[in-house]
Amino acid sequence: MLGFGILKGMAVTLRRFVDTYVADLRHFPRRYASGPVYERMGITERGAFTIQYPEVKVPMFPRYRGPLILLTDPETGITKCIACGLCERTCPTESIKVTKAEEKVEGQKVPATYEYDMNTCMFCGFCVQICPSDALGHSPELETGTYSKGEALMVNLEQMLELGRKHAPGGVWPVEEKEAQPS
Amino acid sequence: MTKLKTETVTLNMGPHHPSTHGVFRLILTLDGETVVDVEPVVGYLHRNHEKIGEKNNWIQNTPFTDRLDYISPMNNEFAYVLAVEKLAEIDPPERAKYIRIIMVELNRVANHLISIGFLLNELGCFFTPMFYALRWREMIVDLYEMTCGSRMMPNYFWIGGVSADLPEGFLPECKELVSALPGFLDEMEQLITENEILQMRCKNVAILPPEVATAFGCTGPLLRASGVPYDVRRAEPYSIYDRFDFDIPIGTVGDVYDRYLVRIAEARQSVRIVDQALRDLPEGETATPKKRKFKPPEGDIYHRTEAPKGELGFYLVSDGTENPYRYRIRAPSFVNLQALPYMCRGNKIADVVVVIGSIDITMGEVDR
Ligand code: SF4
Ligand code: SF4
Repeated sequence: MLGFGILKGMAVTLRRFVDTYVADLRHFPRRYASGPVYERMGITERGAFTIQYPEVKVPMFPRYRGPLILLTDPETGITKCIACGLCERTCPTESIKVTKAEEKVEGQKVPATYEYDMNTCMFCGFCVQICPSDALGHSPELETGTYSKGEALMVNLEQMLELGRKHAPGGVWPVEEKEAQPS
Repeated sequence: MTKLKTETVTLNMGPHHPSTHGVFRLILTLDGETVVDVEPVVGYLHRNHEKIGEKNNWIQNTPFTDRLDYISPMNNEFAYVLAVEKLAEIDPPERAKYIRIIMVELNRVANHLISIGFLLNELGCFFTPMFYALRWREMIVDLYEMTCGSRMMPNYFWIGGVSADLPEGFLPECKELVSALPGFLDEMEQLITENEILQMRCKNVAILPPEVATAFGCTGPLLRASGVPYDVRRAEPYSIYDRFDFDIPIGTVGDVYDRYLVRIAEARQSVRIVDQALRDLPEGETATPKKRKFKPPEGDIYHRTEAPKGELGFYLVSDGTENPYRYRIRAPSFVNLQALPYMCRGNKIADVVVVIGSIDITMGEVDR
């Protein structure tokens, strides 16, 4: 019968349509209220729903690769970075510039300047994987937009340490351990 | 009445046309509504990929391959990494091999879903099937983000393994997804396969006979829909594909409708492979230690894999230094696109977008 296939397809949309309302009722009134509704859309979740961004934000996975942060050791209070420059040399887009400070702090080499250029960074994560002292991490930041490029997206040492203290107060990124250590 | 004098019209379609999946221009020669000739103009998305590949060292190239076919990044990485491993004779750990297969096959499902969704979009069924497809692709990219931190640019495979072991919670979620995917594919088929409008628009449109398809060098679903059971995974098994049991779906006519059916069937087979890989997944190491630089021996290699869009190959020349001497890509979209003028000739202008949708191109890969 001509048109049967169309009806069959419409049955699917109708079922989904009803599903949405049934699921809405089941979660009444929580589904669209502010506050975390769902962390992610689950596989068994039925019907359609919208996460009310920007009022509701989905938490990122621990391994999410956002802009770089520099981690601080919470015990000593100084950065874990030993200014070895490996991240600078491994970066495919040359987004990092590190210089070593003349004097050591508490017997540890520290960077004098650290320039991270978010204009060119592609968040590949090589610098984080290669760092021998695990001093780098990714922030779970999503909204990195600025009104201009250039200077607005250059991050210096102080800002990176600040971000590190904010997003990784324990001085470890991510929460789980790294799998393969750099050699 | 004297016979009206007619002449052909040249029409410019694109480069910014919503159905061209990127920036891509077509110069159409039309006789009324009938297409007389098509001349594709590519190159608007040229990013100097191959030259950048020679500037980078061997390891730094993986994140760039993600940007080739950004719908199926894992497949691109897989092809590159396998090529380098073949050149340097590195054998990754067993667990890493299985993880790679899981990722790559999930990516094939996601790619086919997207390509079916866009095909329906181009037929005028605006975004309803696309959202059904995107909802399930979302689950797959969520698994990617959980594992390696990025949804579209995973940079997960590295030479000699994968960058991190599967996180906690991956296996249960992946198993749940794999058991739910066939049901979803059934729903998708119920939604559109028997739709009369779809059949009228797609059946017997843009038929590509097998000998023409092979002459153009087409691969992937485009070739298999024409009835040629050629799949690199079977013809020249790489990695551990010889351990899995899967079928190669082929079409009979070689029209747009067959390509759609072949894609759905292939997605089902990919789910089967993931299921087997999850079952056999061994414990153990996932990577050999990462180095910042590494030098493969001198020589050259061509390694090909079956990407969702067709045969994706990397030709690499090493002169023994830390950078590739030559880095060349055989991109399936680019080669498959060559059959476009053949398929469009004689059809109506409204079919041109449908044909483009049925080839499943990504301009990032065509222009590199
Ligand atoms: S690799 Fe790590 S320790 Fe070395 S300079 Fe970079 S951040 Fe500092
Ligand atoms: S994430 Fe990648 S591109 Fe960005 S600074 Fe690190 S190595 Fe460079």
